[in-house]
Amino acid sequence: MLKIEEKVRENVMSKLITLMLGLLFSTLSQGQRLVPLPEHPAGLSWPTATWSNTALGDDVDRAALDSAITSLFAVKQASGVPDTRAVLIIKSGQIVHEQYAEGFNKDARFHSWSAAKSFTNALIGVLANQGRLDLDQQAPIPAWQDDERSQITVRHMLNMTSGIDNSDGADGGFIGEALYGHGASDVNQMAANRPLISEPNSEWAYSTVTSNLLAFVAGNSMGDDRYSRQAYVNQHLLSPIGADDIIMSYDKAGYFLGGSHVYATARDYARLGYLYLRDGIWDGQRILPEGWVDFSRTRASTENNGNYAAHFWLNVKGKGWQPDMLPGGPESAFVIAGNGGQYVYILPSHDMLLVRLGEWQVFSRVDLVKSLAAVVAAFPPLKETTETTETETESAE
Amino acid sequence: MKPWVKYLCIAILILLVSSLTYGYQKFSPLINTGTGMVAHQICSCLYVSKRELQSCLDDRWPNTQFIGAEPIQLDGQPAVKANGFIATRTASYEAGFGCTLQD
Repeated sequence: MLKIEEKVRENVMSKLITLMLGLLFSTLSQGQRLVPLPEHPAGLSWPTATWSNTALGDDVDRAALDSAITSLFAVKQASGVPDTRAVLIIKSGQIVHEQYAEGFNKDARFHSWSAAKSFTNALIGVLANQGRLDLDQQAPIPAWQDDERSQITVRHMLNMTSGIDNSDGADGGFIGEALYGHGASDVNQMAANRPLISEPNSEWAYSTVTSNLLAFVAGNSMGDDRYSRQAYVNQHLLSPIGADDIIMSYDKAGYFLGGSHVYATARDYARLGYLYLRDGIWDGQRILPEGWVDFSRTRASTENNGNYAAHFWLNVKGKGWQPDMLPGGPESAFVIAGNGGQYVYILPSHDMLLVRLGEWQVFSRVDLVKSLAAVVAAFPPLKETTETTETETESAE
Repeated sequence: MKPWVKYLCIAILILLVSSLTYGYQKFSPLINTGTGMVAHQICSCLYVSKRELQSCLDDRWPNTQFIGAEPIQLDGQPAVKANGFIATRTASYEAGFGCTLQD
């Protein structure tokens, strides 16, 4: 009897030590806690063909929600059109609120701007899932193969830590020149010919052309021209999640403008967010590799980065110019974000998505995200994953 | 004409030509880029987002509002030509692939 008790005690102690070491390792290596991703509700159809609607739960603060939504649509341009054009809230797999400014509806496509970067993350993820690309492989960009840039990996590029002198602020207009100026017909040729200015994975720098280069890498793994590349994306990403109406813009050389040019309806932006909320699985099919979403929402580890992960933003304190995403909101939120206030907030702690699309010509970014935080605050978090009791999990990638 | 007036006119002319040359060299790439951006933006707004021209023009960024844009046909495809005075750019639309800057 005593032996059995001792054995149980040893077993419990051993498990506790393992757990503590695991938590310590996780904390030290990630410096970040990842809330478990909730599962799609049993018995509910996946939103492939259509999103289903349901009423707001009784636990939602309706007055606070109404007030926050009203404030979002109240800020108007001189033409009378609100800066906010679409707000869509998905709770536990169903639409609980959907609203558009006059002249816009569920079929209207909105320009992503930098929200396209998260879409590019999905393209790389799909290719990784098919075994065509690996996060830690050398970035297959021909101009980088014969010098120190050959140390740059796909992971560095997704984390925006390549070390290349190609940030959006470089040369006071380089990005515009590449996308719309003399580089426009072959964006990647201009983008690839930039020098290394810091060791890969030592400095974070936000770079739209890095996302374009990732789209170039992805494109070359998919096909020889834009027709075959688009067909691959349709087959392996868009059709499985029911987002066939998404339009990706290409440059004249046939490569997707992966840093800034996706056009999608609010419901399709929500589908992309939902794929990440459900850990890269859609209706039983794994679209993104296991651990990909955790990698995508894990902070890039350079000293000068506060809230950037892998082509997704995090709702933690940024460094330098890095903007707040959802002040006072759950730290576990990860965000698809683009210029003009294109936002898809992925909220595992609430099993929820908040999509906001439009402009910020009159709205300041600070006021806009405060209003969006007020929307989220009207919803209570899931009991088992509140911020104070969230479980640490280790990123698999 | 008195000689000093003649010299003054020549000096003003040289100053004017130099300023215009400097201004053109400095701002031409910027205007070319802005015009390209407007061409792409308006093309996408019209043919991808299927909005009205005026609604699209209203959404131009403040520093590009002086750049005009009009729908045209280019090789049988819907397109948009943007005019930024010293730069003209065209973006054309292909169903399923959005808009692409052509020049």
